[in-house]
Amino acid sequence: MTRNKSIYLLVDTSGSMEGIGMKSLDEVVENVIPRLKSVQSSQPDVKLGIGVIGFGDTAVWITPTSVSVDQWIWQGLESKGFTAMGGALILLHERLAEEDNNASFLSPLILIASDGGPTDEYEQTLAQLHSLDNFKSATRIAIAIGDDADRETLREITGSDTSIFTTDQIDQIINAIENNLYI
Amino acid sequence: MKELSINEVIPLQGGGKARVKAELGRGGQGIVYLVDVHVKMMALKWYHQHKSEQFRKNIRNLVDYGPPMGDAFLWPRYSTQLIEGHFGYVMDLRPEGYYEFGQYLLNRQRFGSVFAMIQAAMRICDGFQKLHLKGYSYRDLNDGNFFIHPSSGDVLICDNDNVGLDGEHSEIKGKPGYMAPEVVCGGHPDTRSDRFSLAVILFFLFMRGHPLEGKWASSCPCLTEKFERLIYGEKPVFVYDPDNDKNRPDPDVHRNVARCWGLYPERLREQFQQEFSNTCLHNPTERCVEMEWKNVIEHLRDNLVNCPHCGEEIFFNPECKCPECGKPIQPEFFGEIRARKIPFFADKLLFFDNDNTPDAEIKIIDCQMRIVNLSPTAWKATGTDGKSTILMPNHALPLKDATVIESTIHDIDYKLSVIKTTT
Ligand SMILES: Nc1ncnc2c1ncn2[C@@H]1O[C@H](COP(=O)(O)OP(=O)(O)OP(=O)(O)O)[C@@H](O)[C@H]1O
Ligand SMILES: [Zn+2]
Repeated sequence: MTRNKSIYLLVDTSGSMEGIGMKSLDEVVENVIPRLKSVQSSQPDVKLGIGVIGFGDTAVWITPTSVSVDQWIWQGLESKGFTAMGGALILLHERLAEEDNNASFLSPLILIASDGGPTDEYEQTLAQLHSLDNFKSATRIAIAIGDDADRETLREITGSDTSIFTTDQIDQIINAIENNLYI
Repeated sequence: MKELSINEVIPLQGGGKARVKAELGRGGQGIVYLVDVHVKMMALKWYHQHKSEQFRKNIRNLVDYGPPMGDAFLWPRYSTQLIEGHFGYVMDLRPEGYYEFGQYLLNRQRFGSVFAMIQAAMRICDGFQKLHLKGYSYRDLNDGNFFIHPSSGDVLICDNDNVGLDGEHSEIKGKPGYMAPEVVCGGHPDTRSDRFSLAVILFFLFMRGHPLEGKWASSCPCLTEKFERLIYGEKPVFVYDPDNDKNRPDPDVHRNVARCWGLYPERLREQFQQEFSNTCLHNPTERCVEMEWKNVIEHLRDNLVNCPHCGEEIFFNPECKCPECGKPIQPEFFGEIRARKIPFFADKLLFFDNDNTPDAEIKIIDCQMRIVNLSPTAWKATGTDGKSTILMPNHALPLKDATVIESTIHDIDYKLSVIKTTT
């Protein structure tokens, strides 16, 4: 039976990400893509679907439906304004709530990349997320960009310090991703 | 131009001072002085020419953003203030014992071992991976940018003054022969053109010649701008393009490449064929990331062994025959770690992770092949009977079939399975 596994990438697109932060993240994603493709080809019966949310002044779906890994093309994102991380969690919650009732979905992989902290309300949404089984069982990885990332908040989302990486820890990021994706 | 005199004090951006102690050398772009910055000896690169505000601002940004991870880069640490229109930047001193990569290509300098050369390849890839992960592109990668230690293979990357944020406009195009086709044809260098230049550097390092210079290139009457654009830009053909043999090395002219190509494992040759394929030459987004190169080089390193008969460094091959002395070589044990399969011969160093520090060594002690834990943490070794033992750092364990060794390095778990060869 074919099963589905979603990979959600939540990307900070606030003004401060402009330049080196976003370039650095682009590079992480370019390193991750070939690995996702090889996971997909070695496990054809687990369909990996990608969803990307950008959060700046507002949170929006960049890759709105679950696109298959082979069709996914990463294009750098524009960044400006605030950090609507709470908004991004709302979008994530909507999707996870749907998946939670669908037996064909395995618990997802959630990656969040940010160089700051939320400028909107997020605690309530995070509490709602924590009431979903598939959020609790999800592998949650944070990529802290630059020196000013709000590690406190990232830890609230990932659940542990050991799941927060910097962009130069690419081997650790890939290891964490692969540990989750190889079933 | 303005030259500096001994004991002259140069004010730095941000308030510090650099006192000139001596001249270290001069090049096309400027003079490099030994300077004292708050009692630390450093190197000041002082440009002959006036540099644009944009160039100076970029150096200040590099200082502020800081170097990539690790210690491979001689990064701008301070920029000077503008003095009578002149300008420079301060970097760390290059230690003794390192030689410019170009010197190796000219055979004025030699690697102490194949192992050192492979380590150098790994460190070059590692440096550029870290630079790119930081969001920078190098833009002017060529044989003059690295200094390599001949016996350790350690690499220092210098001339970082053209580094900038990927995608930003740059004044520099690069050095002929190292520029990517799209840059030769008028484009701007970026991370993806860096990847082409990196593949050229690696080809030079392993094969001792240029990947696009074969029979067809040398048949061009003279290297005018028009032909250069053709060979390196518009219609480049890889010398070992499997689909097009018109540019094969001429054994009399391109002797090194013709001789070296067959010496390496298939995997390396395939990677070059991939990176210099028509697709990758013309589609920068198709070029592989440094991590993929690192995996290929890791494969070389895993298979580099000392022949038990003649002692030469050779690549273990499926035919199990030493290419130097022709004698059969069959390891008693293999190690499997993730998708890697490593033949165990005496004195082989094993690298579990990507930090280029050996984690284990295979040793013959009391006539028995053993694995020595070179890592700083204890390992757990479990035999077929299910019993586990702890192997402390610097301790050795006799190899037995089906033993599984578990270790954690930089927060990543590794499992090494020992497999006895059945004969
Ligand atoms: N960090 C350093 N520590 C010690 N010596 C250095 C350092 N950087 C450069 N040098 C020496 O200074 C001299 C000139 O440096 P370099 O070759 O970088 O100049 P350049 O103007 O960039 O030359 P070109 O552009 O012609 O390559 C060289 O002999 C080099 O070995
Ligand atoms: Zn031999």
